[in-house]
Amino acid sequence: MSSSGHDSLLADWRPRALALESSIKQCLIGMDGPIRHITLAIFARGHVMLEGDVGVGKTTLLRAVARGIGGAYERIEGTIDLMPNDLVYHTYINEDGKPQVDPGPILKHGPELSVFFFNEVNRARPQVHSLLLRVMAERSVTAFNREHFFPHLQVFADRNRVEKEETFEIPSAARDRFLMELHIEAPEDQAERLELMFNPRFHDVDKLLESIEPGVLPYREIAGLAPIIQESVRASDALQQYALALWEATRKPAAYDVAIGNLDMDQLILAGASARGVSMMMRAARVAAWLDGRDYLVPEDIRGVFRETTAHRVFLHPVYELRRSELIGELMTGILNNVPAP
Amino acid sequence: MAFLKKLLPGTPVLGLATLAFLGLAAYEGLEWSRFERDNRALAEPGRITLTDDTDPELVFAAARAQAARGNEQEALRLYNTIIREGTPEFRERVHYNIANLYLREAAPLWNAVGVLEYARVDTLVALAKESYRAALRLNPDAWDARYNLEYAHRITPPPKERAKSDFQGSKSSVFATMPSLPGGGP
Amino acid sequence: MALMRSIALMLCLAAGALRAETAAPHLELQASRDFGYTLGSLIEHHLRLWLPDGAELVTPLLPSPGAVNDWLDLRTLRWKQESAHVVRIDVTYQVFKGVRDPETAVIPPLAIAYRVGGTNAEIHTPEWSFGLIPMIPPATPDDKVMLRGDAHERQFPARSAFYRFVGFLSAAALGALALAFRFGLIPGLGRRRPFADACRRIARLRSASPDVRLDAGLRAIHEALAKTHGKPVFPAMLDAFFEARPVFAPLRAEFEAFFDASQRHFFEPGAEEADNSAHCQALEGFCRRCARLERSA
Repeated sequence: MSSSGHDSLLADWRPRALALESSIKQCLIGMDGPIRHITLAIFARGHVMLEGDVGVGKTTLLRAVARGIGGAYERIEGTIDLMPNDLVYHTYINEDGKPQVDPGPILKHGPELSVFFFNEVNRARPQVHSLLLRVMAERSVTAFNREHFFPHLQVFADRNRVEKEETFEIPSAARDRFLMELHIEAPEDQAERLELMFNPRFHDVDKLLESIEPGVLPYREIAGLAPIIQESVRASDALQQYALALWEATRKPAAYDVAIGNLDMDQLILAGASARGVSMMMRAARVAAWLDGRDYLVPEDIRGVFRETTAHRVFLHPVYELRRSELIGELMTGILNNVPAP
Repeated sequence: MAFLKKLLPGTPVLGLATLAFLGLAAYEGLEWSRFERDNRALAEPGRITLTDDTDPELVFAAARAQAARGNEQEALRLYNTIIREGTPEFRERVHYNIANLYLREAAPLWNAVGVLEYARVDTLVALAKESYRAALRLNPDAWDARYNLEYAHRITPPPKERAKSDFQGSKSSVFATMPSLPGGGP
Repeated sequence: MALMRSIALMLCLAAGALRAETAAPHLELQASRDFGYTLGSLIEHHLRLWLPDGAELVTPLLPSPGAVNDWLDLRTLRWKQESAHVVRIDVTYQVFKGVRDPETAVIPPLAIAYRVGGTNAEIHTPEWSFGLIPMIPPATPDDKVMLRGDAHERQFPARSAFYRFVGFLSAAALGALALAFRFGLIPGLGRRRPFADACRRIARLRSASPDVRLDAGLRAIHEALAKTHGKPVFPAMLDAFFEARPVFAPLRAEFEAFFDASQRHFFEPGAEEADNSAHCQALEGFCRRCARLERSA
């Protein structure tokens, strides 16, 4: 396709992406940030980990997204006795009294599966995690003696941050495959809280989601569009320097005068962001630039996705891992505040 | 810090004030060192070397030292060089000391020989009284000057008595002591 | 008729008497006491002079300070018109009369000249006698009187001069300290002046090519902003920046333009700057204005 063809394609898609974003925003109050990030993730073809309290609207958000994208939507609850097989197929005795094997949630819709939502992923066993890892990394799974491909698949996982018992921490390799880790919180704004409480519109989720026009985005085309976006958005030298400095800062925060209380910053970090991690960050940033109507990156694009794409990739020293949620936020803020651009 | 900044006056005002204070400090520093030096000199008034620039107070001390050494003429000369200088208080002291010099010369003469030294006593006392008056005009409350001036008045022979006492000589007749033509002319 | 005539005569007489009363100037003397004076004492007389209509004091003819007689000085004489007819005159004498025994002395009359109807006239103060006492006990023989000693020289006020010196020196030091504080010369305490530094750096680059100048100038101002704010400032943080440093708020439009220019220069690929030198000029002006605001903070 010619470059002018690309340009017109990008120009066509941008209003659609914005339309999706705004129609989801209508249904969910006080979630503009997560909605924007999910929109970025859709066009960056990345998987998203959601973390938040119970009942803050994670599921509603994902259902809204699924409805907007179109295609098949599946969800599964993570439990301690969930086995990988349960994702792929399930067996039962049918009405004729014969055993029957049906495809599980992943396979049910075949290649049309566009949104797969894994609820409470940290309750599932590591075996399940590794299956999920493969699905996320390769968008394929082996079952019934053949490979099944899901070209449009986007995985959303949800991690309960309240309970820590009987949970299995997701291995770092798995976490690294998520493009973003989003924190969903109930809106802080009083007016929005009141609206949530008293506006009957928000009480019936099914009816609420009907207001979203199904399939605003033709999900089949997103996979083709994503690389075009990545190619068309350019990064200047100064911006590359800035991104590099951010990466460097996740590895050696002390070099950028980042300080958290009186912690020894050299001791704090076990491993900084991975190479895959920063490339994912740049992917999300490029989408942000495109959504903003630019064909070049500015620091704000990166800053907007830095926390979400990088925080879960930085590994702290085990001593500090227990205080992770508190420390990592400060670290990210410190890095953003201390790395200058240009 | 911000409130401190607001409290401070503008830079020009601050600069000028600093310069002014610096100037005043320099002046006072010089004064202080001069005072210290002069005070050391005052401690040994006999060694004061006098020039045209010497502080009147030092000249005063030098004059007093001369008087104490019995050198009244030099003391008077020194006092007279500074009689128009300094504060009224200083001039009062100068006048008073001058008067004392005269009176101290006159008193023993008067007490020892009385009217016989009339001319000298009268002159000295007159000079002393004049100086005491000058001192008292400058400071009516100078009690030492009042007291000494009263004494000066005591040893002043009143004109009438003076005339009388002239005739209280040993000679019985004025004519006896009068040089004249020898009796029995040609 | 005879009664009428006699009443008229009486009225005439009364009027005449009244006129005579007002026509005669008279004088009243007040003194605090008339005893207990010694040689050298000051004696104050307060005179009140009533003058008839049309009469006025002839001030040049008032007694002038100086010797009144051989033992009395007139030291001061002040006068004041209290009302149309009354003049107040304050006279100070100094007594130089030496006495052996308490005696009474008399201050001679003082002539006060006034002019009435074109002719000069005089009114005299009354003679005023007062008690004069000796300081030397009367019975003391002359040769037993101890004279009072000489006056001593005074020490120079070195100590107070020293205190003033220290005081002024401290004040000057305080002033210098405040100035240093203002100009950010006190490390740790004084504020730095990042924009002033940036201006100096930009000025130093004048000879460089416009591209280099623009690049370095933008970076210098970014750095100054970061130093001022304590962290790098990005366009989205401008509101927070102005909230924290309201001094710079008047330049909001310029700040926005600066960030636009910076964004264009650093991140927009192929953004051709036709007149970089004009941009440099603008940048320098902007930096100077920032430095001025920074100083006024």
